[in-house]
Amino acid sequence: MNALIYYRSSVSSESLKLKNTFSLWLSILAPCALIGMHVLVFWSKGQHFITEGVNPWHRFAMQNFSLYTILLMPIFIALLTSLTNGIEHKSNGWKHLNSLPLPKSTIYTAKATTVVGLVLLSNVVFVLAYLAAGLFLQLVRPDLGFENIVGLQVVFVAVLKMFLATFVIIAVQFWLSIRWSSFALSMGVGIVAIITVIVATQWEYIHLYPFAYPLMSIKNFPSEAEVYNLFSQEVLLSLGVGLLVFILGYFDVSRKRIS
Amino acid sequence: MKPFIIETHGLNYSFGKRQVLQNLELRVPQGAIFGFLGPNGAGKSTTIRILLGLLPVPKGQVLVHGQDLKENRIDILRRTGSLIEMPTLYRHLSGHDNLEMHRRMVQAPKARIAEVLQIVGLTQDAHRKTKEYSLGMSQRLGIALALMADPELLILDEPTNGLDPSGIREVRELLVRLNRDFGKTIFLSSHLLSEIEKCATELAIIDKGGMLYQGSLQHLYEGTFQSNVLQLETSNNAIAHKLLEDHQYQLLPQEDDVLAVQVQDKQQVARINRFLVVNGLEVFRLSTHTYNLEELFLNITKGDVAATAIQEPVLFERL
Repeated sequence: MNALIYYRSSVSSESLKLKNTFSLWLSILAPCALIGMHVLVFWSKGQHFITEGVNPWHRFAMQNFSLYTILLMPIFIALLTSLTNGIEHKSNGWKHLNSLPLPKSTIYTAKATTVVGLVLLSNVVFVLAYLAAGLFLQLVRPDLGFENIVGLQVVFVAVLKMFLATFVIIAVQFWLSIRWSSFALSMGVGIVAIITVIVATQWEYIHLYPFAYPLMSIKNFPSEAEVYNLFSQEVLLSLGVGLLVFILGYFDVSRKRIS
Repeated sequence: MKPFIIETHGLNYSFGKRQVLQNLELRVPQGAIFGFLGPNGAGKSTTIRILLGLLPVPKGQVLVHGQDLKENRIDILRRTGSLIEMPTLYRHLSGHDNLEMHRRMVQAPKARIAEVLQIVGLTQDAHRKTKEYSLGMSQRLGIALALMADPELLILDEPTNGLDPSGIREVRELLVRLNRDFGKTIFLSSHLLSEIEKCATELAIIDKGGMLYQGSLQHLYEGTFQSNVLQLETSNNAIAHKLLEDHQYQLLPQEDDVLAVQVQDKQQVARINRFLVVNGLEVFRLSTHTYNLEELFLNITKGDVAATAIQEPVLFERL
């Protein structure tokens, strides 16, 4: 048996564990709720957002992006990680998982994969909901110009970048929630992240602040030149620092006595 | 001699400065129901966590299935099922899904789920959510989880904790059946002596991290007879006292009208009786005071003199 088989069986077990859980529903409903709200906004007051020469699809995406990156992402990831790891804290699961005939690193990696998978799922749902919302607005507000479907590719790439830029937040929150069972800690860090990002938006070093990476990744949207540079500074930083936190987190957690 | 399925050599463990285990020498024979007994805080759970690789082995050697735990953790765990106190059940899932999840982890065949459900008698309730399960059912599902990979060894830490009498009985009967019909070696920790007494064939008693007794249950009982006391009431206790003393019997301090004599075995009781009758005394009452395991346990763990008396020869023979 090799590491890949261990990993596959562990991930398949973890995904079954998500059945009927709130974290699974959360990753589907959160982006839908966000886009749903903006549909209402554009339905009633769309004329204020779409001015001459603006691609309505881009305007609608931008409106969603800013709220998604500043407000929703930090809280949403905190909720997801603490709910997913909370399943184990609540059921006394760590001792059980660690006495399974699997390498401890596999268990840790499989858990992390689950959380990253949930965030990815919610981004996919975000894209689908976005497309559906655009088509819906085309019906109810034909005057806004949604029937002209152009420039969607840049939106898709932006979502991908946004996802990659959240990697560091996932890693930090994953470590916090696996290390401590407190739900309040994860949420607290998430709220502090939101406030600091909002307060420090104009700070000259904001682009180095991990919780601002998702915001930085869509800052220049819809400028194609900027967005198509997939591995921009914040994405690379997010992946690099995220991986580091993830590895250090493993050493920290594996040192911990399981009781 | 059957091979030992669990062996520890000079196992020591400490949490910071507090020594939890001191030179623990465990010998668990294959095929036994091995009771691991001790009061709360004696180091039972620590030992079990070490055996399952949850705590590092700092000093000493641990062999499970004849393999060193430090190098073969995964191999050993593949052949070992465990249940530590309350089972890990995901309450939002059904019993079947809990088993399925575990099955994926240990890569057991799909048919095994129905088998283990059958063994623990939960086939009917498999598709109910585990949050609706009673404590006894949860515990049995925990044992089903431990059985999933068809291990030769089951390590159970206080599996009857918190159960009502009928729940305790369900679990006990299940364990006896697993041992008898499926040949599983069961390592069972408990602070409930009555439990161990009813199903274990071998046992170890530990306190404050040290081994007080290890061996068969029968041997322990035989050992306790040494400290048995015969109580006597005769028509003339003064003469009886004199007679017994002259014949080198060990008399204990007298209380009221009852004589107390230290006896070694049943034959001696009969001899004393005959001896007194032959010497013209009427014997009104002869009663032996046998320790049950409960008192024995309390005595041993309190470090009484009686305890050291029985522990020496037994330990000598086993180790």
